[in-house]
This record gives sequence, C-alpha cells and structure tokens, in this order.
Amino acid sequence: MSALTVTTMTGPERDRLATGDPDAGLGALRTERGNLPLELVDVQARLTGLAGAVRLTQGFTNPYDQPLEATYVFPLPDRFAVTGMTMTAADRTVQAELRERAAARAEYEQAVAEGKRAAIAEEERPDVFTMRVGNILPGERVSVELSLAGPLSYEDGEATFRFPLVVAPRYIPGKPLDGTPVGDGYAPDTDAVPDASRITPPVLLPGFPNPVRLSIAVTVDPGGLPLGHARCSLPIEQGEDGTIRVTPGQRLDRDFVLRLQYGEPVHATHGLVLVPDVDGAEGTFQLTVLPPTGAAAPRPRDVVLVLDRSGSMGGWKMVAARRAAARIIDTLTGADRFAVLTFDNVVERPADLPAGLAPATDRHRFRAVEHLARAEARGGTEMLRPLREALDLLTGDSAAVGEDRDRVLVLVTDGQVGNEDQILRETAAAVQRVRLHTVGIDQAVNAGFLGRLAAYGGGRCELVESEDRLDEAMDHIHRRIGTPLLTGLTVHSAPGEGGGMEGQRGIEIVPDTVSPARHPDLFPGAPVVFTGRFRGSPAGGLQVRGRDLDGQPWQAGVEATTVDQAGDGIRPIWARAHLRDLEDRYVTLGAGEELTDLERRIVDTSLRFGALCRFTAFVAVDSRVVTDGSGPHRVIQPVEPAAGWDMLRPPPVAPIAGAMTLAAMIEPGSRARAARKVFNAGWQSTSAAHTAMGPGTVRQPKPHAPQDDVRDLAALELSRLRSASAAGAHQRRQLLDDLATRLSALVGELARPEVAELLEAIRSGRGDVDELWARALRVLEKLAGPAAAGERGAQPPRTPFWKR
Amino acid sequence: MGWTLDELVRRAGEALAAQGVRAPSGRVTPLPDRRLVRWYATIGLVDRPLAYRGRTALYGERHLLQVVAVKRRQAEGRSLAEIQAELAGATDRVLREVARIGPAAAEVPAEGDGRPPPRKRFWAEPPTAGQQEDGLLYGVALAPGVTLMLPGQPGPADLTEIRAAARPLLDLLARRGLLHEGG
Repeated sequence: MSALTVTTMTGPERDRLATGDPDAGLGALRTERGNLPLELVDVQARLTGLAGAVRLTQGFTNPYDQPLEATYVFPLPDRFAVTGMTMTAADRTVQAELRERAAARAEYEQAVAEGKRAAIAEEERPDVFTMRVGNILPGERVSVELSLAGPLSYEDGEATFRFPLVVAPRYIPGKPLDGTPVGDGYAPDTDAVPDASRITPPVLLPGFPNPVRLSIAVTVDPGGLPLGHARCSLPIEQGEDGTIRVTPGQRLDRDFVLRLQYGEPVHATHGLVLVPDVDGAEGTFQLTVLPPTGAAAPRPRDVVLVLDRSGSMGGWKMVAARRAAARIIDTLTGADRFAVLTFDNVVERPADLPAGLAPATDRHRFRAVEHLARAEARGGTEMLRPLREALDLLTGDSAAVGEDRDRVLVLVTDGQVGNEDQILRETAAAVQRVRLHTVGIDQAVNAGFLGRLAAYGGGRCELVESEDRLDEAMDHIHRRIGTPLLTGLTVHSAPGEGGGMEGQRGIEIVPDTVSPARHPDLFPGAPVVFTGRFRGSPAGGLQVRGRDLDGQPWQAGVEATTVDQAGDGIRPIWARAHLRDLEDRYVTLGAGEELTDLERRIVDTSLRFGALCRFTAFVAVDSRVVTDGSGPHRVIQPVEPAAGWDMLRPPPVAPIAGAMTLAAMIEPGSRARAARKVFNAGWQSTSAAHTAMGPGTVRQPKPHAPQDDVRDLAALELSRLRSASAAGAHQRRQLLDDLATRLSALVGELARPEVAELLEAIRSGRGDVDELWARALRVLEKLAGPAAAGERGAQPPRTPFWKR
Repeated sequence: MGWTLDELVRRAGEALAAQGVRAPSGRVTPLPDRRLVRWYATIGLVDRPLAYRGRTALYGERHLLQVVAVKRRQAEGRSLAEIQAELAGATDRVLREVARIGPAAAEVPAEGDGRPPPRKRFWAEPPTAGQQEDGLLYGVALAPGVTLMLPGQPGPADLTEIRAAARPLLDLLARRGLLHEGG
C-alpha cells in the first residue's frame, strides 16, 4: 500500500476552491448551511483490482417545525449496481426491500400516510436516482445507506474510478404534458421527456453556504500488482494506512475521479472467471479479451470538433449532434489534444479550456462535454469562420510542427448553408492537410456539400437522418479516429474448428445473457470485458470471435482461469450490465405484448439478482408510527451548480432577444432550402444557385463549371488512392469504405452505373481488395478525365459525367 | 384549478404594491415578471407548478407567498443567495411571516379540484418521436372572417381572455371597414 503516491489534479478548479464567497458579509445570515434537509454525503469505496465496492451514506435532517419528506436527486456511476439499502432513524436500522417499482411506490406512500418513517430509492436514468425519505421528525436525523458494486474502467495501464457528485442540468426538448408533474424538479414533463420533472433538481446559487458535509474515503487493494502513481480530481490526503481521503470542505459540484496507474499490465492473458451461484446449477462468468500482442500503439491525435448550433439545428438534431460530439470527445486519451468550437453567428469555445489545442485530460474533456450539454440551437449558420479557426488550430503556426500526430477535424452539422461554394473555395487547400469527417444530421441533409467537404478532407461523410442511426454512424467515425484491432466481438459456447480448443469442453452459456449485447470492438490498450451467465459445471472454456484488421475472421479460445465461489462482485456487475441492455431494448421496441413480456423479464432479473433498475425500487419502512399522518412538509434538495457551468444568470429584463432569434432562425433556413433545391437539380445551374442564395452571402465565389468540380474531386481521390497503393489490405479497404461514403453523398442519385456498382461492391464488404482497388481506380480515372488518367496523349472530348 | 403565471405575477405585484414595497436600488426589479418566476423555480425559490393544462402552468397560494417573500427580502437588500439559504424549502408558516400577506390577497383557488393525480408508471412511458413541432395550429374565431391561429390549444378560460383582449383590434378593424358587414 505504501507504494502508492497520490497527487491532486491541478488547475483553475483548485484555485476556485480557495476564493471566498463574494456575497458574504453584507447582512449575511446566521444559518451556516441554509435550511436544507441533506446534511452529509459519505462515500466509502474499496477498490480491488478492477472492481469497486461502495457504501454511500446520505444523511438527512429536519430543520423545520413539522414532519418532513425530503427528496434528493443524485447521481451514481452508471455501470455500478445498487444491491442494497438500509434506513437508520432513532436507533433503529431497517433493511430495504427491492420491489417492482409501482408496488414499492405504493408501499412507501402508504407508510408515509400512516405516519411511519420510510425511504425509497428509484432509478430515473442509469446515472440519475431519486431518494425520498418521509416523516423525518423536527430536529431528527435519518440516514440512508446504499451498497454498490461495479467495474473500474481500464485503459493504457490506468484504472479509473469515477464517482459523480452532482446531477447537471439537462436539455429538455418537447412540449409540456397535461396534468400534474411526476417529480418535483423545475422542468415540466414533456412529450419527449415524460419524466423531466424528476431529473431537474433546483440549483444552488454561487454564494450559498456549503450545505452538505462531503467525505470520501478510498482504499485500494491492487491484488498483488505493483501500484504506480494515482491522480485525483479533488484535493486529497493520504492516511497512514494508505486510505485516500478527500480534504474536508469540498462541495458536491463535480465528479470524483481517481486514476490508478498499475506498474504492470493487470491482465497478462485473456481471462475467464467463473462464479457458480451458491445454490442452483448456474453461475456468472467474466471474460476479458486482450488486444493481440504486438499491436502498435496509436499515434497521438489532434482533434478539433466543430458543432453547428444554429437555429435550423433545433429539436432532435441538436440532441443528436450533442451526443455525437460528446462521444467523439470520450474516445480521446491523455496523449491527444483537442478543441471544441460551437457556432451559429458567433464561434464559442468551452470556458476554462486553454486557448489552442488542449491536452485531452479528464478535466478538459469534462469541461468540453459540459459546454456541449449547454449548446442549444439559435442564430444563423456562419460556418466559414469556425472552419477557418479549426483548420488554423490544426495546421497554423501554433500547431505542433514536425510532430508525428494525426490531425483530425470533425464537423457536425445539418449543412444548412447556402454558401457552400464559398466555404469549399476558402478552405479546400487547408482541408487537404488534415483528415476531415463530416456528420450530417438531418432528415434532409445538405449531403452534396458535406460529401464534397469530406472528399477534400479524405474522411468519412456520415449522414444521420434519425437518432436511431446515430450510434452506427458514430461507430464508423470512432473507428477512423481510433482504429480498432478487432471488430464485432462475440462470445460462444461451442469451440469452433481451429479455435485453439480442440478436445476441450465448452461452457454452456445461458442464451441471451451476454453483455454488452452490442458486439464491441477492441481498441489498443483497452481490453474488452464480457459478462454473462453459464449453466452446468464450472469447467472448460469459451470462444471469442471477431474480425481482424484485414477483415479476416479471428477467434480465440479462453480457458477458465479462476473459479471463485466468493463472487467478487461479478454477479451484480453482470446483472447491472444485462439490465441496461434489456432497458435499451425496451426503449427501442414498439408497443405491444412483446413490451409487457420484456418488462416482466427486466423486473424478474432485477429482483432475482438483487440489482436496482428503472422498473424496480428499494423501499424501507420503519414500523413505528411517529406522526399523525397529516402529510409531511415536502422539500426537494437544491443541488450545487456543476463546476464550469454558467447558467445561473437572471434572465434579461427586456425580451428583445426573442424577436432577433426568431428572425435569425428563419432566414438561413429559407436560404438553404432555396439553395438546396438548385443544388439537387444538378450542377449545371451553379450561377443560379449563387443568385438564389440572396443577400446573406458575404463574398460570391467565382462561378465555375460543375463538371470541372467533379473532375477535380475525382482527380483528388485518384491521387489519394494512388499514393496509398502500397498500403496493406486492411488500410486500403478502409480507404475504399471512406471513399464510398463520400461518393454516395456526392453522386448518390446520379445515374452513372459504374459508380453505383462500385459503391455496392465496396459496401458489401466482400470480394478481393486488390480487385476492388483496381476497379475504383478505373472508375475515378474515367470521372477525372484524361488529364488525370495520365500518359495517353489523345484526349477524347469531355462529356458531362452525369449524362450517358 | 389554479392561477396562470400571469395571474400569479399580477397578484404578487398587487400584494407588493399594497404593502408599499420598493426596491432599494435599481439593481433589483421591483415587480416580479414571468421570466423571473420561472428562474426562481430553477433555483428552488418557487416550487414547480401544481399542474399543467396544455402549455399553461398552474400555480397556487404557496407560489404567491414564495414570490412575495423573495421580493420583500430583496427590497431589504438581501442577496439572492442569502434569500435562497433562508427560504428554499421554507414552510408555509415562515413564508407567510416574511411575505406578510393576509388571507384576502391570497384567495386561494380551490386546490385539488380538477387536478389529475400524477401519471402512474411514467418510467415505462415511451417518449414521442421528439420532432420539433407537429405543425398543428389551433384556430380561435374572433369575428366572422377573423381567426386567430395559435400553436397551443387554448382552454375555456384562455378563450374568454383572448376574446376580451381582441376587442380593441376588432373595433379597429370594424372602424376601418375591414370586417365583413352583416356577419
């Protein structure tokens, strides 16, 4: 234990903690912590290897002169299972029971109505929960303790324990629903978020005295591994026994993040742990799949994310764009640098991030995601300036010179601009020095423009027409930003031919219990962990299958390395992961009987394995009657503003902004519609498109013949392919895949049979790479015309390529 | 049923005016307005509305006490953070003391009537597709040939008030001969 040294992450948030309260003094109140029910939060975590066990205590008090029902909306790590709860009041501790949610709620309501103390814990989101404690007597203290178990994430030799402390404000789209809100938060329930009032607790103002005593203590048991350095997001002290404690006086306004560096790899080989149930013939398994040995570490990356937040991005598009952007940021590691630009009429960057490219540290990524979470659609689509800024960050003088880094620009937009040509013309040269991916989010995306932009940037053009498609599209982008070593991993009972398991018994998997249910990819430095249920004797092995870099089938047999009756938290970790898979399925499934069956299955799983989910709740009732049951005073605990947010400004007095915003929202949309119509009609009428754009365009680019544009692009693609001719089969297949996304955005509807056939052949993912490669070259040569095709002297007359 | 936000703001304004409450400086808006009440809700100084009818939020006596109490404390020169420390979660009795409103100003709309209980099983409700707008508009006939189009569905009380508010416009249209005669 003594080997562990811990430091606190430095930065502005540390400084902020030292600054006093600017409003204190003048007529300050005597109350030291306000009149709120929640008085303490205590987190006791024990980390063993890559598993964590947590006891979370919430202490409530009643500062009022009548019985109280306190409501507290709080976060938990989303992959942790809540496996138990107790309520302690007036020298008695009551064990909570896990019940179906409606039954638990009824039991709680009845107990409170009968004048008994009671508590209920419900899940609203995988990471947002609600605690209600009813009939706390005046001056009395009641504490509730939750038990949790979950996995630590592990990447590049570093394990991360993240424990969130505040539910940050969320964007609530949709129209208010009729009737009484289902929660006590400030947002109305809407058709798009039917429980919005349950996830929007009121927020404390800066200057509010620290209302909650926070204590966090973490013990680390490295399980025989040498421990290196540890870093923490909050100021900490280390006790003699090695326990890490957060310095008293911290506020609940950010995540507690502890990163542990292990001196040697946690896993030397693939691992399979079997935990038989105490009774019955089943058990839980955990299978860890390692990257193939000798896999190269990825090059560090510089990534600039440009997010369109203009008025035309309103509604689901903005929600999808934010999710997409946040996912990209999540894939970055400490070796990478990044910047985030959001734009409408103006370009904005996350506050508190350094100017230029910032190292992708935990804190910086957190800030950036916060910034994105606040981005709401407004204003016009001034795309040129943010693109220029982004390109300047990546290729300008301040960019790292001579360093071996991947330079990536991701543009997330609906492309609803009318000045496409201007943008292309002004940025094309710089775009060719970076990798530019475009994510087009709309049901009627400006595909031609985004395709052309991606063509210059040699990246992917992903078009997302609904939220359902978003995950798939982001997987593609993700794979290009960070290349996976293996894709589409699945786990199987039966050993296949040549799986390295000849002559061995396979372990029988209980069907449809393996999590993650979505077949994951394996990236360098980050093992993939499967959990699932088996039946029968705990001996033998499992098989993993996937595809390698060259798209060839890959498989590996893994023998059980440990058979552990003690459990080690694997069972609840599996239950939680599996319940989340089932809940995801519930959300995407239509109405009907299937849904009822699925709900029953979720409830049964939750109750059988003792892990809380959205369809169940922990309820504790103290049998003593202590009030006359006349209905307690109800208070919802306001929460700290999440660090780095800027939402706590009073609204402007004059409502002028509304009119301006409306105007700004209408104008670019109508312009884009006009331009799009012309664009889709074919490129012959380029000059007409410029006219149709109207007065909003700043500078008119020189109209150019459309066939030249296509010829140029084809020539560009051709030279790109030629320069990669010597690359490996896998890389060439990737290049072809990306090319296909761009070509289909560009000429999707155009009747050029060889292009369509080429696209189809590439998309099928089958066939010989060399043959496809040659075919792509032939098609592009034809599109590019004789000049690009090279050597031959006689030039046939040009014919527009869209005509046969 | 409850007061609309406009009614709540009006009553709070009247109560404060009757008590002669004035802001100590120009920094603080002397009278509450709609935006302010919504903002107070996000910082826990005003409870969430009792219920919603269409897009209209409905408020009751406790909300009135909260708005007036906050305004009185502000008039005394307290910062909002201080007021939050004192009044967030305060009982009705404390609010009444601070707001100093007699029962007359607060003639409460009968609580509970017609207010549906919260929806059961909200956790199993699927969200709708989440499109921006359904494009549906609601029309209110003001006079023959004159129709007001609204994005939200007005209730009976809204209709009465809309018709009253439309009176001057209809008079103007009639004066200018822009209405169909004999309608």
